[in-house]
Amino acid sequence: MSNEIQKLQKAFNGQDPIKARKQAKNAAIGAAMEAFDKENSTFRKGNTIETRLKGQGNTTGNRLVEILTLAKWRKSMKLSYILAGSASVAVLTLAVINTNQIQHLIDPGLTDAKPEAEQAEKKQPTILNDMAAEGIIAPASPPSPAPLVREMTKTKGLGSRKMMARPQLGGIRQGDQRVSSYIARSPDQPVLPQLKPQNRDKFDEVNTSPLKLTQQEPVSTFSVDVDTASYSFMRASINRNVLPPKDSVRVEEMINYFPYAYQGPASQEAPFKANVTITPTPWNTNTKLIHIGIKGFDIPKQAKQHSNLVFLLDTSGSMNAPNKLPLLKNSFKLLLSTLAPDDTISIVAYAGSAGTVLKPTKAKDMNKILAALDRLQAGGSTAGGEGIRLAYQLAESSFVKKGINRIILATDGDFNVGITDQRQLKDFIERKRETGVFLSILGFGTGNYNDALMQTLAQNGNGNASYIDNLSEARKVLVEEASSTLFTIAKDVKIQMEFNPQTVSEYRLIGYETRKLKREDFNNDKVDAGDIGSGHTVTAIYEITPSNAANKQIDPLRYNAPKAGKPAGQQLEYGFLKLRYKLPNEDKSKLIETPVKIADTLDTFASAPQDVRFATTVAAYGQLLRGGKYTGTYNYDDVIKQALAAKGQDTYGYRAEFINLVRLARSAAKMKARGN
Amino acid sequence: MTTSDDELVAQANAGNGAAFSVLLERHYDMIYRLAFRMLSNRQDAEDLAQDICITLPKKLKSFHGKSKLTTWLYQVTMNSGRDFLRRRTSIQKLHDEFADVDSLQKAADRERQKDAEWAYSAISTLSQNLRETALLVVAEGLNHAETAKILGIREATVSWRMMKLRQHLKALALSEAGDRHE
Repeated sequence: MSNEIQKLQKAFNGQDPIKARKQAKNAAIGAAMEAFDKENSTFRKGNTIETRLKGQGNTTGNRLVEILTLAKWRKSMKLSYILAGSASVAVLTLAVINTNQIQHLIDPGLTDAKPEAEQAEKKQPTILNDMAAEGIIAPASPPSPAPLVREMTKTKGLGSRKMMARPQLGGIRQGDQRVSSYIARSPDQPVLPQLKPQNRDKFDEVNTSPLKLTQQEPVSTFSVDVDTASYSFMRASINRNVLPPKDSVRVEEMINYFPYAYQGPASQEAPFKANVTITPTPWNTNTKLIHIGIKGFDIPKQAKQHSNLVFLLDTSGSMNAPNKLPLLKNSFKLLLSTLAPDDTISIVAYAGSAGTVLKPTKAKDMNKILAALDRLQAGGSTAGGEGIRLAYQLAESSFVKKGINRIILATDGDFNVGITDQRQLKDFIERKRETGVFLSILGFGTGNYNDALMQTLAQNGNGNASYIDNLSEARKVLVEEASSTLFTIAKDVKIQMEFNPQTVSEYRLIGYETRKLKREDFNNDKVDAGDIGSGHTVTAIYEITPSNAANKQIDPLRYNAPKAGKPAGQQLEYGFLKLRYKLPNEDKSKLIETPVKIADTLDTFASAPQDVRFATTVAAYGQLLRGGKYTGTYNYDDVIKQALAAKGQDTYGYRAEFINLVRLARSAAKMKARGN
Repeated sequence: MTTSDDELVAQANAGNGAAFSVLLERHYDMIYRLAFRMLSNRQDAEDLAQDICITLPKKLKSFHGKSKLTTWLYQVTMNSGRDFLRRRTSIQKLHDEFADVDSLQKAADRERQKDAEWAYSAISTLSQNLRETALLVVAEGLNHAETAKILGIREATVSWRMMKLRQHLKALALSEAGDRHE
């Protein structure tokens, strides 16, 4: 070998990073073992994943059973990692079982390749030896389990191996999440080095609705919210393995993301129906939840009115990303497929300046519309204000008197030319609301997303805001829920709940922080509120502490004893629910009232209807993401368990997706807690 | 006495997780090492190694024992490493920002021994073909026949490439000597 080559060889072998790090190795093997389990899932048909045993605090016994359950599922391979983390008593017992399992593991069924019984027999101990050699288990010494236990607890590798079972939890490198990002992508996806731009997403600060004392403030008033943007934003964020910013989480939007099969009204006369369910609180034994599920009337398809839609599309430079303009174009193509031939479409695009891309055109001229869409290209600054003005102009020019007139604004919300002041835009849109043109907002992209502005626009323009992070979300909003997105059946829907101080000592509304109204606004028809579309469901949940509960969160006042002498009938109610709404083309509101009867309280949470349980679970998850101020020891595992139990038919897979997101959030939260 | 790789593969393919984990324990270091030598930074190498491990349960089913398992694993790693490099360069072209990040990473790795730095700068100037051959023959210490198998080329080509490598290194040494004299 020549000198040069020798020098090169010496250099290669002398370097330090060439030695694989134990942690990285463990993480890789852990991830691979999970992939292996998945790949070979058909081999363990008999073994089902048993639900985690519940128990306040992990007593050794409980923990042991739990470990054994897990062990069965994981086919003993990962026992050693679990072992390292558990109490010593558990270790002792387990080690014995472990060896048994490993020996059973290599059963004749798996050795079809070499059927000779002798060979198979010989093999069993050898794999054990191999495992010992590689440090997976300690060397097996069959006669008595005791030395084995000693070995196992002594073996150094075991301690660090704890991480293997869940590599995503053990963020490996400080400040780098890439190794751990397996939770965010499937194994087949390539590792793309991610460009992480500065986070410029804007969210207004939101404080969680506080606990209220019924004595002091018996009435709670808010506007319905059918937006779902917060949920999709959370999904996009968690799929990047990052917990969403606390202020971006609006619990009510997360709850309302899901379709629920609440009972609806019989006719369009009363456009919606409120279903009230009272259940125990999963995260607090002292309180109850009042679950209000509102279902809008579902307009039959043939009865749908003509629509006049103006697409207002942001084509500014900031939209130049795969998850923005191209996604937007495809989303609108999806929407086009749902329209009737006579519906009118116009397209306004804005970048540095706004311009009409497509004059009002009937939907049957599909090619013309598609061609116009395809011509769009991103570039320049964003004169969104000007675009909005032009869009309203177009919408008014082809106004359909007895139909839907709606502007659909698609943007990342970064208005930086023209009217850029939020307040000014809000004023403009408020004035335009009078004309009968509705506004829907579709948010795209991250990194530059102006959530606050989108919310302001949608809330003031008789509209709704959705966040589109992928094509299936576009399908959900624009195709499956097109009728609720486009056909408003009631506007300015407000909810007022009056609590009975004799039966309810404290209450709090979960979510709806940005939708709070003043008590006097409820009857004031000039005050704008949220709209409900055809078939929409809206859910609101109150957590109340009944006056007879043992532990109240706020101490009672010494000098303010409740006055006696109220009619006895009122003792039977927790409160009184009032809803106000206007029909889409009316200005005077109507009222629906329902008492909330104590007698309707369900004994157990599990006996509640499935949709109620699911909505409550989503509410719990949203609260956890917001910091979990009121959720006690309730954690992501509980969310997963409850969501699994309430998944139901789940035709479109939204709930399954939710459960996966919670799993990812659980890992992301643990990583965050570790400071990675 | 240890179970052979082939036996473990057969067991793993039959759904035996224990066998699979033994394989991983045995060969992860090699996968990581080659990944590191190809990508010349630890983070990418760890990522790539983990990626490869994750795809192994599926890929292993297409391993029919025609070659040694290590040869096959070298191939798999080599191919994944090539893909990774391709992606890394195309993304570098697209995003200046990423280049910044990458240069930061490189700066950290630069703390490794001088010799290694020399080795990498020496092979970084080689063509891809020569570099891969150098990694397998010089760094991994494989013989020409096995290297040929992994790269899917003839043994004579490996020998020829090694000759080229020697010439290249000699020229490099000369020019370095020249630098010192100036």
